[in-house]
Amino acid sequence: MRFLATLMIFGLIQVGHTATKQSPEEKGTSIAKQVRDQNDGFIGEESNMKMILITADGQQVVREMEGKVQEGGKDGDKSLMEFSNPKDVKGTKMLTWSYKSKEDDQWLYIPAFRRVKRINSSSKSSSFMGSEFAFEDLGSQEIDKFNYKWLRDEKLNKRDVWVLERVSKEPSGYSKQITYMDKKIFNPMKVEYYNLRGELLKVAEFAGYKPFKVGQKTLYRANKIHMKNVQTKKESIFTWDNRTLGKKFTESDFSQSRLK
Amino acid sequence: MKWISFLFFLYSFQALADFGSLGEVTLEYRQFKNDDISSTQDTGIAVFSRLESSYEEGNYSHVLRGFSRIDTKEPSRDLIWIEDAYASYFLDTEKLWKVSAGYKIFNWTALEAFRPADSINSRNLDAPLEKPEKRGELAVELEIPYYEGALTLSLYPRVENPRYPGAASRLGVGFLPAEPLWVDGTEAKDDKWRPQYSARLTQLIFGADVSLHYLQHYDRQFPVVGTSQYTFISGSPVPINGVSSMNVPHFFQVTQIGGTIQMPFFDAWLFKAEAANRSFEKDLSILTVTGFQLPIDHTEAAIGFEYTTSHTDGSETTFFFEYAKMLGVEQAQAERLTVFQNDYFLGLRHARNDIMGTEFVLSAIMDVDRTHEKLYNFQVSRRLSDVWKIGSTIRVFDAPVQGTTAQGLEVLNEDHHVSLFLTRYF
Repeated sequence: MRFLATLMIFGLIQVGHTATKQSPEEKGTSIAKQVRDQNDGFIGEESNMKMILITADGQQVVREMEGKVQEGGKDGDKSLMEFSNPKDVKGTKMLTWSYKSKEDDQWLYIPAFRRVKRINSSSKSSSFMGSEFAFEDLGSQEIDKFNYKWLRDEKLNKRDVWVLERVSKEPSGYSKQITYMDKKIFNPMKVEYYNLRGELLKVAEFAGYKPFKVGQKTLYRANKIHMKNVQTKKESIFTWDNRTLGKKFTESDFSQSRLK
Repeated sequence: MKWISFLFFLYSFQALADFGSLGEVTLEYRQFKNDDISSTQDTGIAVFSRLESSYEEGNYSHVLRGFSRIDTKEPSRDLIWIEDAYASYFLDTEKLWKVSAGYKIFNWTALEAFRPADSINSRNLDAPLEKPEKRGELAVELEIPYYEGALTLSLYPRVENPRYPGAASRLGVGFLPAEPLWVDGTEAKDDKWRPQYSARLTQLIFGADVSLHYLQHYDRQFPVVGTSQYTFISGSPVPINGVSSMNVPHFFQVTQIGGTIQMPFFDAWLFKAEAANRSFEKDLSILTVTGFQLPIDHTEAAIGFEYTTSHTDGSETTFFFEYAKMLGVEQAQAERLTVFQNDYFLGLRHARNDIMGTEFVLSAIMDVDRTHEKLYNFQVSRRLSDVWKIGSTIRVFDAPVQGTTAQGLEVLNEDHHVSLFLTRYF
């Protein structure tokens, strides 16, 4: 559930200024930092989320969640996600304390047993609730956990984008990700995920960006991510409702004892 | 117009509050291997129902939850239990200090199979092993935040009876124990209003979840079954109300000190440990079928490891290893205390992470001392839709009787059974 932080912020990669004579790696990292800085300052975020799972033959199943994220300052963000559908996992909560340079702390609350279970954050490439999203797609996207490389500038759907490659420094289910980063709103328009054999596995398309005013800053959040698995032809669509940014939570809202 | 104002008030109230509810009705079927004994029931067909509602508004919240089971074949399995019925209130605007009161389920365990530290609630001992059924314990609690954790002080004014398998149950011992008695000094009484208390500290230390507890309560796990009503005839103890009165579980006061730790390491591993030291009040000897007995002081400890690996199709597999041992007692005493006195647990859980949440669990518990005692378990479950779920369990008890009387897991030898469930959530 370091995924929540990213679900809500998703693209945290940034655009570099016009630094001269930068290597592609330096430029990519510079862009990533700029995107991060541009998206910082949301303070706290709360929303309802819906995920539509579409099978290869077109059948659809809906998953629903509620989420909160508290911006972390020097440390990473803290996030809490509660599942409300399907019914057999209703009330299940996942608490994540992300860190910039070490493994996240994660806890799962299992309501049937009134139990808070510590979980390791290793299952990055596992499917999230049967969807085409993996936990690492939705998890903490701290820039220190990736190596970046600027590939080129181009236009995507008539918008100027930077095309960046990023490779996880930690064990991952992907060999690389290619991100198409919008130069104006500092958020991704598309991400291509390559499996460990180097083949294109999935494509995520971001849509419905809305501006949110938090203090003096205007932050953009996508209201929809459409993930298509090009190998299995399965699809998943993540959407957000009732999103609030700038919300002030207390520390105890993200404590283990609040899980029960 | 007053009623319109009232409705508007109610609407406004609801709009501010967070209300939740969940219910389930499960059709349970279990079929044991035929034991050719007419007094036992080899088939169980039951309807299990659970209802839950929760409400939160501002600093106030409450939870109500309970379940019932009606078995058409074995009426001794019928029960209705309250699990949670408590209200909580945060004493400060930061929502740090919290008081709560009412019936509550506690879960202090860190491991999957062996749970030495999890002692508070009484249980239904005829419940599926993988789904322990606990009875809510009346409690008044104060939770005090402390660094990256909390100190919880609890008072439990009342004890609740555990539920034993009936005389016809294949998971029982062939007879239904009488209502339990609670030993207070030199007296055994059935009065349930008895003060108990605990203090529990939880902390996150260097990435590890650590908990320590001190619990002063009436034990529910290690009864001495017999009678305290006896006399001596010709120097030999004789139960006053006959031998049939020697089926009374006696629960003694115990001081339990213990704790748990859960710590991820090497990315995909999780280390877990759990222990509880129990010192009983021993002012009353109980006459049992094997002579006078007192509760046995002991330490119960367990360690475990989990390793999780993800697969390219998005599924994941978790391997479990756990080991539990009774410490500070002779082997014979340990065997008297529990069937898992020196045992290890091997488990594998494969979650396909597909739309229907298909899961397989394969596990075994083996006794290190009594190597002929083994328990195997296979489970599968999946959703049929967002509101329907189905599953099955196969359980094999392989513990052939070695002596003249069945001991430990031998009591359940060949009580193999298949369980099926079909659940509708609403």
